[in-house]
Amino acid sequence: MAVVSSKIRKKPGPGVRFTGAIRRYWVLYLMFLPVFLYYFLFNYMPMFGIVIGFQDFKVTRGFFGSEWVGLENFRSFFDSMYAWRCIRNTLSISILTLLFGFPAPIILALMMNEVRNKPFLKTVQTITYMPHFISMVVMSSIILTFVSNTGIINEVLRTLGLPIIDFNNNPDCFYPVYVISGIWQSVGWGSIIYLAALSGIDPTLYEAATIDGAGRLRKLWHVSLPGIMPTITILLIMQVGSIMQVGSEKILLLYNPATYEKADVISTFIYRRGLTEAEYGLTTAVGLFESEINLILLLTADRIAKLVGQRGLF
Amino acid sequence: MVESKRGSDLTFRIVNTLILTLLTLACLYPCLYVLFASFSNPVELYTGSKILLWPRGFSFNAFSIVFRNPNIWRAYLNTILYVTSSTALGLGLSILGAFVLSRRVFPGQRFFMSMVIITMFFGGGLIATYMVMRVYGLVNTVWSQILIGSMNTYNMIMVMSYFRTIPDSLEESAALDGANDWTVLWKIYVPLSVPVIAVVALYFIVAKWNDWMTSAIYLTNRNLYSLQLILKEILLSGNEEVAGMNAAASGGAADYQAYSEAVKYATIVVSTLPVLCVYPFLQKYFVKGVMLGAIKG
Repeated sequence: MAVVSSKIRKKPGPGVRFTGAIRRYWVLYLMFLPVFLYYFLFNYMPMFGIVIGFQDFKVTRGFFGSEWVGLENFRSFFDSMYAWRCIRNTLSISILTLLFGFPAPIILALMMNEVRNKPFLKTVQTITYMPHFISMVVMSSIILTFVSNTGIINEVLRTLGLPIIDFNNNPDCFYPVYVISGIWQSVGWGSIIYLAALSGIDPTLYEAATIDGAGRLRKLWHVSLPGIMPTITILLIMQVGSIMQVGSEKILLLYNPATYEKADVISTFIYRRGLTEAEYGLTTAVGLFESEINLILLLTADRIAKLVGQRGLF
Repeated sequence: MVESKRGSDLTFRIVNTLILTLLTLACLYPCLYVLFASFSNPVELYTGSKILLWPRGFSFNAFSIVFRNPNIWRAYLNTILYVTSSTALGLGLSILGAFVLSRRVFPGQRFFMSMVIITMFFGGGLIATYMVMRVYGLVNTVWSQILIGSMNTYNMIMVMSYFRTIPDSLEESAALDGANDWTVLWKIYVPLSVPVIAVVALYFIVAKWNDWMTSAIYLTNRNLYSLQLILKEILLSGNEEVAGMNAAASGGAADYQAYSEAVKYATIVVSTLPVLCVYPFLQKYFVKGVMLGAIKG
């Protein structure tokens, strides 16, 4: 019926199609309008704002009046002594987080999945998710208090007769403090998505494995882990796609001039030099460089995942 | 054979329980520590060992300083305003967007979808965004805290995946009764999606309550300061005037240093408690919501 009518009628031109769609779906278009406006004003206009990365931007002259300088901002960043420091710190922190922080919630979810005692599981979940709900400001102050010279960790070291460590002022301590506290903050919350994936595994697979004589560890290795592999892959691609990005919030709260050497990453450099020292053009260029690299990494990771036979992101 | 397998399963269970217990304690102890420290006698806390297993002495003095601190109260009210408004906005936009994107294909839908997805991987970055917001006149206004970053694409996609699990037959019968899309959304989809909407609302509330960055970037007017900005000054910059320590000084607190430390812990408790009180009640919703909404990724 539909086929016949479309054959009889002439194919409508684009204009007709457009007004036809409007007439038929106007409620949906109207409903999407606020969402469209929000994304346009708060996500897409800032993307056009990236032009200031190619300008000697002056607030008084604005987007249209500032002088164009081409790639000068990129050049002056890469010529400065800060470029290498920021890139090295960003990559080090990201890679350490990837190595230690990424597997942690997977292991936790697999462990939780083996618990048969419901009240115990509930308690473990409630408490390990909790750090996620505490603000970064409070978390950072707790971290700094715990690792300070008079804090609990050094108190324990002193009690054991070991030398104390000046975590807050020794730049070499910054990576471990950041990465370990990061795991502590996010391991519970991160495990939820894997638990959700684990609960979606067909129970007959476990029964079949039991009949074949598999113990708990073997079932974990041969049923649970392959069952959550698609979830792991997708989250891994996302993580690899943000290797050039370390969030500024926690570092801004944790670092101090004594630890800049190891703590200053690209995003904190942008915040400090951009907002407090008004080097708008330079820092926008640095931000653009950061997100370009991330985009390339994301697409590469997605391609690799597809090559090894996993479902990718796109 | 059977014996040894049972034995290894038992070992596995013991080790598993042990590790999980240790991890739970590691997550719990810092919170308990802050709680104990805030109720301790400030002087005993300051001079004694830092290893706390119970409040050392007992005193409400730190809390009474916090409760008399006008900075905390003003920031509290500001934050409540920012949280409620931005959550209402974010939730409303998420529901509308999720509904439109979960419909059967119509012209323009793919374009809307790409428009939304692209923002997950690419953005203007801090400075360009700041400059555009400056052009809008949002810097240093209440609106900056309500509008900027109030939308979250992940949350919208979660609602969208949930909407897609609702069977079409329900709305077809509604359409026969003459309901349009608007009615279908509010009369059928929203009532059926309470768990996921509760989760997303919780995400928005917690994110805004705990947001320091947006306030730090856009606010310099002290009257508009959010709770997290005030907390940063008290906890990390050690600003004792903001912490309300002048009240302690005029009250003749001999051990100013000791009090200033205890006041920090009491401030943490006062600022964090509301979120932690809501969380256990909504927990059953959010695990359910994540399972139903996020599996698609």
